[in-house]
Amino acid sequence: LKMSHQGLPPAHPSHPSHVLQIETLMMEMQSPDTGIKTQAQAVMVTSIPHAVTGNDIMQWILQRLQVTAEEALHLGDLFVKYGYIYPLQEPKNLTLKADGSLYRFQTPYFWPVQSWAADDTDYAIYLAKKNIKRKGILEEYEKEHYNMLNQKINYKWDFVIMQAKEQYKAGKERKKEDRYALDCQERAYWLVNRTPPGMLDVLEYGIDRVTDPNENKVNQVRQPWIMYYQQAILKTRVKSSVSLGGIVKYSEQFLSNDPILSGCLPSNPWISDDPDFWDLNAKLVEVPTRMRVERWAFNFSELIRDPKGRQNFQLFLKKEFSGENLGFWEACEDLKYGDQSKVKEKAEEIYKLFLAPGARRWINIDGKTMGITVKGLEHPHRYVLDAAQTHIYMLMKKDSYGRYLKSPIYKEMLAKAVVPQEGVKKRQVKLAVIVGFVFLVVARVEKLIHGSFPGRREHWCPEHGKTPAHETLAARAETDPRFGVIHRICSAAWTKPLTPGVREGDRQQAAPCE
Amino acid sequence: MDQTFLAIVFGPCDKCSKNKPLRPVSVKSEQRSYCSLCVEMMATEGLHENETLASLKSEAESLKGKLEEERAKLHDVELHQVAERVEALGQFVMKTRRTLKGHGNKVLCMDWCKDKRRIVSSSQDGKVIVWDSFTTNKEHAVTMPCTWVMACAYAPSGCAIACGGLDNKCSVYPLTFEKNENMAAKKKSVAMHTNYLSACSFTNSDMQILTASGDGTCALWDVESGQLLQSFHGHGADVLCLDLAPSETGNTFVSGGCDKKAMVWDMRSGQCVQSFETHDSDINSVRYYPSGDAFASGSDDATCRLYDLRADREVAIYSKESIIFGASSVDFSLSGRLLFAGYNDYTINVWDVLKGSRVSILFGHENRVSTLRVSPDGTAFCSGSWDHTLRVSAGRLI
Repeated sequence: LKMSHQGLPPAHPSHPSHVLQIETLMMEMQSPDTGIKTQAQAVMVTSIPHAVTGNDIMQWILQRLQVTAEEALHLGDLFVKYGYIYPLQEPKNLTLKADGSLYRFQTPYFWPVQSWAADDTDYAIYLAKKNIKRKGILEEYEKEHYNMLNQKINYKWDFVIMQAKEQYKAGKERKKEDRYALDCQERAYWLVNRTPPGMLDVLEYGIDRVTDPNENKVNQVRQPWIMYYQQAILKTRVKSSVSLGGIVKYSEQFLSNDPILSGCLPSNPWISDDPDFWDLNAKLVEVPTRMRVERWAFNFSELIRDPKGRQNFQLFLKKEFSGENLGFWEACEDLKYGDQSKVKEKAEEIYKLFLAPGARRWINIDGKTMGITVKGLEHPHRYVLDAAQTHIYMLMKKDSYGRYLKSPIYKEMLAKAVVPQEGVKKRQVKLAVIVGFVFLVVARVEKLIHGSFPGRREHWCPEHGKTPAHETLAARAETDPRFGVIHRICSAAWTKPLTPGVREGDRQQAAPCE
Repeated sequence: MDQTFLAIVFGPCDKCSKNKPLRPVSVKSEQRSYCSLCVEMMATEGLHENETLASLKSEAESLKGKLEEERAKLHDVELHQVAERVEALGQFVMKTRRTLKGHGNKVLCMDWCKDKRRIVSSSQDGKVIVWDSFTTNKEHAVTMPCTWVMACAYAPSGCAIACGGLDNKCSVYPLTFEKNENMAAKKKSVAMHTNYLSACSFTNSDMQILTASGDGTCALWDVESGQLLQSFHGHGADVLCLDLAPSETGNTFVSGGCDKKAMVWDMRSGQCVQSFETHDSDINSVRYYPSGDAFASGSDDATCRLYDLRADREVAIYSKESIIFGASSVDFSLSGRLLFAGYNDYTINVWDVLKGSRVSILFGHENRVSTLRVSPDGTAFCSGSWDHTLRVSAGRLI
């Protein structure tokens, strides 16, 4: 089956690297030694050669890549969607079925190669040929394409029709089974390259990525690369064992705080639909949770990052008369990340408040740092206070932080901290409500049938209020807390009359217990 | 985790003598301090005497080799070896808990609000939607004047969002709850690039935005004035992603691009402080490990990788023969033990970061997963896809 190529259409960008890997697998799948055994299979009355079943494909992928059936099916399905394998029985449906459905390997000529797009002329020929084969068989979207192409490449139309007729004639001379297979092949190709509306367009790759990484420009070689490498070589590094040890340690330390790995109390809102967890951990909640307060002791960063932790730390600092340190640090953050137009103004305010001799909240930094800072303030910019900020940060971290963790302020916070109960409560209430409702309904039905509530027919004692059912429930409630709630609700149901009048009537009927 | 501070030196430039913030630079093997303008000029200079393009390239290559040698000297153990003592993870059950339907076309990007339940998402048709994903209610919607809104971000205060794409800009929209709110009216155009916007993020406040672009640069902007505060040059091709370091002491961010490089930048000086080139294809996503000492990347080469910043090297590759399609988006669980990665084969793979093995594979989306973020408190993750939907998934180890 020849395709005409009127010169190469514009190239697609070649960035998807999955193509090479799929092609390798496809070749393996068809290899006589390691591949799937193909055989002639009957499709309706025709015997199509070199066919495989969907199940064969899935099993082969499963074995070859050592994956689960679900994964193998998903991957195989993608191979069909991308046009590397095509279906023989439901040609319109590019999916893989893990059963006896029949498939064939697409000829490499038709593989979705990224370096040239499927040609409009070829598509026109295909549609014209389809039309010749059986008039009116074209789908709506195909008719639209056909009409559009007729206009777009009208100057070639004689050529298109001639080619279509030639191909149709050549096709008729083939054996029936070859013709059928080639039809399916071609159809699959065009389903991939001219996707019908509503179907997944697998060849869509997003937008074109612009810059060519292969351009050789002097400025891209000298800077940053030569300059960068020169600096990078001199950089201090840490031994792998040390830094990797740190990474592992961090993960272990935070394991219990990771809701996906350890759950969270009272419950994960997304799973239980209960936002309590968020309320209990609100930014400046009155009483934080224990996990949260314990986290402040992991490292200084955890403390200062948490607004509640920072608030508590500030209390401690005030007691030590070093509250201005945190204040200064916060002011520096505001300078760095705030409005650019206010930089000069803020820097001056900070100087007056924290750095000037005799300043109201004077911070204690060494002479050298003070010198750099004051000089820098002659030409203020966002990072002008960096040196001073670092100094104060380190002071808080290495000095105040340790004492804070041992202080009564922190210890009190820890002691007050709340440990939420696991959110069985909501489930319990839901269950109780449902069961209680059922009991209510049953009771009402019984009343309708027998003229009174169950249990009241028997010994409803005005003093003890007990009934057999009530008793069993009470006994159960002793061992199982769930029944406690049900018991309470059912008790309410049984002692609560439909209308005041009914109660009086019942009472008259009931005999007092002995 | 300590980071060394580069105190910004402010003084007379060694070249032009003007008083400006200075950067250390190597000129003919000698250390100098140039202002950023002079650095730029030096960078765009033509060849010097006795230099050819080839000789420059070979000098760069030999320096690169030397750097790799230096890096290898301190490499004494592999990550999975250190992780041997760590308990293996058990079975995983993650389920979709919320499906957000409302976009009319491919979802390209999403970001969480600090309140742990609201999200902003953007799509190919130009729509940007703010959702309360807990209730699945749409709270705000705006239609951008361009298609392919590839970047969106929630402001730290929760009072604004930023977005951009094929318009080459990053715009900030304040969020109000006024009746008859017309979000488009209060729009502020902040960033201007010369090609598409691929990523954006607020820094520690609503007043500054960091952007990445198809024009090969990243930039830091002042929201109020739209002023460019710092630009970051160095990628040789489109920059596709960025992430800010979580630390209070560092002021760095990492970016990934079509030049297969992941680069770490000093926000104050605009300098690249570290660079890694081990991927075989475009890097679509970068994300810091929660401690800030490492970062992960996801690439079109179908692998995700972990880079240790203190050891200055790649320390893990997360790949499998059955994973053939590119990874589009990655994020860590709260403890950093798990790495969630969305792929172009519509699946999400969950990796054990320390042991290097895949813990779970999640199906559900019907087209590429284009964006994935874990919620701020780690209770769930949200994935956005070309199938027009966003899904919030949660679960746990059993």
